[in-house]
Amino acid sequence: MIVADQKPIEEILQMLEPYKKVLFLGCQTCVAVCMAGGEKEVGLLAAAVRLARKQQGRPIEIIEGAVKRQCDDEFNEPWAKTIEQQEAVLSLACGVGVNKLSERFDVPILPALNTKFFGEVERQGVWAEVCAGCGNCILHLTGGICPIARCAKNLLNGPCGGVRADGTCEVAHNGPRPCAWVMIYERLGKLNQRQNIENIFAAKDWSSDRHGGPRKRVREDMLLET
Amino acid sequence: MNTNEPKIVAFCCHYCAFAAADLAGVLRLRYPPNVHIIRLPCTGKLDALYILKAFEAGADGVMVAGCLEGSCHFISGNLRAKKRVLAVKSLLPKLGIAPERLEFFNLSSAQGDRFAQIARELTERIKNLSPNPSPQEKGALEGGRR
Amino acid sequence: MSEIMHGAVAVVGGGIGGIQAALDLADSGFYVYLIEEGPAIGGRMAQLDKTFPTNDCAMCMLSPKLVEVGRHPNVQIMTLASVEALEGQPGNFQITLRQRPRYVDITRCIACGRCIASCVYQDAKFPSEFDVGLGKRKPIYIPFPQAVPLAAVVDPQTCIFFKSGRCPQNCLKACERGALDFTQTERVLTLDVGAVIVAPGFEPYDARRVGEYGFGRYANVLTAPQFERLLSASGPTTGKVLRPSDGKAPKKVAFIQCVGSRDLRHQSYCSAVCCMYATKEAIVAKEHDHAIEPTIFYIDLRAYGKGFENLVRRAKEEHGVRYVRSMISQVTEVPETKNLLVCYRDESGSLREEEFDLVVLAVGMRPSAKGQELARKLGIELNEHGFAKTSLFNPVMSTREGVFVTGAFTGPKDIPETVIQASAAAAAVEALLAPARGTRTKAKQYPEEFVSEGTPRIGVFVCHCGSNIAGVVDVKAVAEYAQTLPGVVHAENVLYTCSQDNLKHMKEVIREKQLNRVVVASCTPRNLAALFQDTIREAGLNKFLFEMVNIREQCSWVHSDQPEKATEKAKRLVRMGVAKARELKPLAVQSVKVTPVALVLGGGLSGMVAALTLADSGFETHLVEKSSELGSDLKEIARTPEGEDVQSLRANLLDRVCAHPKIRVRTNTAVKEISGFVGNFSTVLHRGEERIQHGVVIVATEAHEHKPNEYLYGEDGRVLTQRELEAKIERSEAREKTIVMIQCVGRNEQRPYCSRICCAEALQNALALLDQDPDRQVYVLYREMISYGFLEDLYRRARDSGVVFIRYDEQAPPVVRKERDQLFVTVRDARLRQEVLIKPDLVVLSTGVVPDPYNEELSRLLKVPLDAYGFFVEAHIKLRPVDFASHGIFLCGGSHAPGTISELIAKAQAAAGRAAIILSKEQLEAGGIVASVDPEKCTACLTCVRECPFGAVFINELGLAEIEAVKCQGCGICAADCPAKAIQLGQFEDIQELRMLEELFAYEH
Repeated sequence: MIVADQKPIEEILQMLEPYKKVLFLGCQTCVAVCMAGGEKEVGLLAAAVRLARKQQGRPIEIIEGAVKRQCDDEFNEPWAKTIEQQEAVLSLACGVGVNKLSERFDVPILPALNTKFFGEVERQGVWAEVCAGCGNCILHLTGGICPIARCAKNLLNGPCGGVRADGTCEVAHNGPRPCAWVMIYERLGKLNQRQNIENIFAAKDWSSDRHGGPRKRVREDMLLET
Repeated sequence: MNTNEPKIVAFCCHYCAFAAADLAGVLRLRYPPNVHIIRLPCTGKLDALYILKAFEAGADGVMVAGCLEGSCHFISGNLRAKKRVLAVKSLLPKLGIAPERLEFFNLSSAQGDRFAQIARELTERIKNLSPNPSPQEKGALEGGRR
Repeated sequence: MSEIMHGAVAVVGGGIGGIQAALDLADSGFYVYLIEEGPAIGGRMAQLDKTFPTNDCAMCMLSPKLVEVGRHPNVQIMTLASVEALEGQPGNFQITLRQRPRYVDITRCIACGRCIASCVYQDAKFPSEFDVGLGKRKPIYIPFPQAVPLAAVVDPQTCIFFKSGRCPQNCLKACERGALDFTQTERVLTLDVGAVIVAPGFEPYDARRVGEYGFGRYANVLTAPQFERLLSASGPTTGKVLRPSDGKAPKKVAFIQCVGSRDLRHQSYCSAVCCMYATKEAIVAKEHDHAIEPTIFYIDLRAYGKGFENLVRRAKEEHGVRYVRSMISQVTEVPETKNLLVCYRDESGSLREEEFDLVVLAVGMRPSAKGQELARKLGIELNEHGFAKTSLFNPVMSTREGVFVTGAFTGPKDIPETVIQASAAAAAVEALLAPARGTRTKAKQYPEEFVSEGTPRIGVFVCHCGSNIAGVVDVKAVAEYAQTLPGVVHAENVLYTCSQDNLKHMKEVIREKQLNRVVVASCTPRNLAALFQDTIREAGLNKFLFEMVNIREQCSWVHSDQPEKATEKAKRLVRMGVAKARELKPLAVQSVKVTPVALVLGGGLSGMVAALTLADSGFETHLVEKSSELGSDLKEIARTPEGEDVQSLRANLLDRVCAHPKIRVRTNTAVKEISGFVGNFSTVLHRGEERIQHGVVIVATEAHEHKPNEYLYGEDGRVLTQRELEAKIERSEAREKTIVMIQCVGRNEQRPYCSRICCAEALQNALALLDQDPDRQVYVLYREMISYGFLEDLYRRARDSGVVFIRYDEQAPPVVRKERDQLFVTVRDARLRQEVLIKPDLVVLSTGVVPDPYNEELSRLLKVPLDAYGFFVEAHIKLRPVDFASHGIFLCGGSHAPGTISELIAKAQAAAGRAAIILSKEQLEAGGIVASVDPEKCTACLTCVRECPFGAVFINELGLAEIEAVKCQGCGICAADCPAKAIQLGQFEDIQELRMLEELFAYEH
């Protein structure tokens, strides 16, 4: 799923400063699951913003709502009338939702979240990045552990010298984490595929990644236009 | 609103704090009438939203009281509640609300006197803050931003 | 056995044991007379502040039970009553009771306390029984705030009216309810019952008889029960630890253990609970007042129960409780300061004198004088210590058939063991009276519910409670105010809302004005909400269309100094209540049919006993054992430490199990899959993919003797475990002359718990060795001798017989080595502080027990928790010792906690009894205050699935979360955390709570 984080309340208040009539629109899919922008967070954030604005003596009128998936127009459409009556919309969806709403409506759409990564639920309350969406998957060769997402340097032929004696990575700004290549080595051992580690990967073609510019996927057979 | 009569909401667990409040009555202890109890089946039911909504509605103080740690009738409700309260408590100053207005307590049903004492102390504490939302605080906040 | 069989049972004694037995029986189809000598039930547990090892609040646990038993339609509580005689035979007894007058009509008394306030004694003058003499009471008093029945009582011994006949009887005039009646007289009555459970409990040992400690002479020497009252928030000092002599906070507090216990001048046995309650009291005292420095003077520290070791560790490491191993011969008072001098032997062995501010005597348990009298009247025998005589293999059966005994009446024990025995006794009664089940109980009939949707039509009843509320709050004004609130079509103020005439009136108003919501503003919902809900249900309303507003305990009683503000607050509270009432919804209670079949997992001792108990109660039982035979856990044990023949027990159980028509045994069978919920489980067995439908599960896996890998075990044939030695002795093959036994082998950081049974095994084997050949030399190297309860006698006999006991420190365990085929054991004697060298012919290891490794799989299959050591975790360590938190699953056996055969039998019977409560019902009620998921909103994020403490949430075939109403306990944790706001908890919906908040602040006078 897409993992996002709510922006600091100070930043959200600053974004909302010019407005007095705003819709807070959550998304009930990925960002609900990662507890950043579902209906519950909409309620909390709206209450917090109203409170802060009341304290400032500049009350704000907030309508609260949440749609199934903000990345689809059809789910947003029932809100069209409401949105058009607002001075702005604060979207609690990922960046996709914000873009989608912005494409459709001529009202400022403000992001309440910082969209971060594709992640897994490590345990309740902890999400970890495990896929980078690079567009060229090699997981079958690395025991199902992605070096692009999980190695700090995206190394294809790891590990580097930064692996420590206990098998953790020297890059630890998000807390200590295991070296992806140590994990791959061990995992390959379990799968009896340790010989894979000897493969030398050629330099990665990053054109399928964001480095090749914005990406688009088309599936011809599913297109409805003739 | 009279600044000397703050309104305080107390979210109390049925099994402990609510029972402790009852015991305070049985023992004819006294505390200020500012505290209004809302009974929850367990503080595990306390949605963080209730706290913010209470302040929004005009509460001058909010207390949440669950069972002693390890004594929750539902195993872990009081632990969940405590975390939620702490999260809101850290948010409050950013909204211009003094975090002292919110407090979490662990109480046993036998602590009638402690309930009364908490009610007295919290009322006193909040009387010493200005009412919510107060012109003073508003001024302070705007001053801070400028 | 009589041909007539009564489906009613007399439970004598209203402590926690009696209450538990009464509830178990009443919940499984028997009518119960709960007979209590005193004016209120609750017993010793009510007087406790906290309970070990979790330091839970005692009253928090007990009070809901008191209310439950007090309200139970099939329990009649008879206080101030004692047994006179018991005639008849099992199934058809006549029990004669003598009931002393209370002089207060409990149906009228509302415990307002006006009589007490008006008593001619202006000050409380007489020692309060509840506060163990530390507090005072008047001749008319309420035993304690949570008492059941909650009513005043007159003590004719101290009441002036009875003593002199000349009293203005102010109390009579003060009572607004006409509840006092000084004409009441004693009455004698005879009841027909099928069986009797006797649970009169214990008496603390009279500390005055241990004269050397000065209790009764020195003001600052207290007994532990008194100290407990000092710690209690509802006690005489509201929880402040203060010295009786000067009311000052003590700093140094000494606990003296074994007062009256383990002492041939007093009681020879160990009282089994004192080490732990002293540890608890020391910790709690320190929590109350950090300056307190507690010291516990003890002989052996007996921390042998589940979680006990951990509590002692915390006491030492986190709370700084000092433990000094020394018997105390004398306490003397310093006359000037009333401080106390305690003389003891310190670690280095030299005598020291230390001054303390307060001394607490850890008095032991002794059989109560009343219990002994009771035994005589019931015609049951007592043992040599004066406790009820039972057999080890029938721990709750007295010497008279049909009369069962439980709790501390059968020997010193703590609360969980008492609760276990109570449930075991209830189970034994059920088996005895199975044919009479349901013949004396009544089920209430209600009219059909009318559809109460639509516009709210709310009725508000504001209670005067005599002058309890009306004396402070202007109830008329509150009712008038209520009338103005939206949705309210009826509001009135009533003298006593709970009186029979008003309840009738309330039903009439509901019908006349077509009310579809009712709000009562009176006392706490904790006591009477169920009564009002029942009343509106009788009028055809769904019982959840009710809201109760507490304007007594939480308003008039605490704000009596500010009547105007109290009235304003009452209005606000009523406004909130009405706001919630507007949003209330009828909640459905569905009936779920119960499959009256049990599945018992584990065919050891516990599994066999549980299966037999259930089958004897009439329930079909599947007994499933993973190994190839039943009772294999008993195979290696020849006899119990007390000398009972275990093999004949095993043979007897096997015969009965195999012959029982209601038991179906499967060996070599493991469980593959379990699904369903309480009342309706479905289990697939590995063998033959057979599917069993059943209503309950009992997990009865045993624990096994740990096989060590230290001390040359397995390398040298002369190193055995205790069980192996026992077998060798039994075969008369033991020829060795010098034997060393090492206790606590393999007890380390990973396995720190005490296995409870090894010390007794060692004593048993040591004595058996000496019996066979008195010329032997037997050494027992131990850390603490855990010979709790009557096992202490065995310890004494071993010492007298010449067994040499050498204590070693945990940090300096003995060393065993072999040189030229000679075994050597060296150990540092902790008492003499000297190295001892022994050349044994045989080394015997007490290795303790480990839980069955199969538990891990069962834990996964049943979704029930294991602790860090692999033992199952019960729902509540004190009051639900054989239940799992998940309903319908019960536990017993060594895999719950290690125990003696006798203890395991009681636990197995208890688990069977608890399970029988469910099986005895045709249907279970589900629903009401439970959480439910809105499938439109659910995003299947799994938060609820992960958080639910009861495993009630699952992902259904639509891929969405769904809550099993039967499993849901209504805590609301899931509802509060659902990120999609897809979950609501009935009766506590967000809209209901938020409306209350809004209305509270919308109020302006």
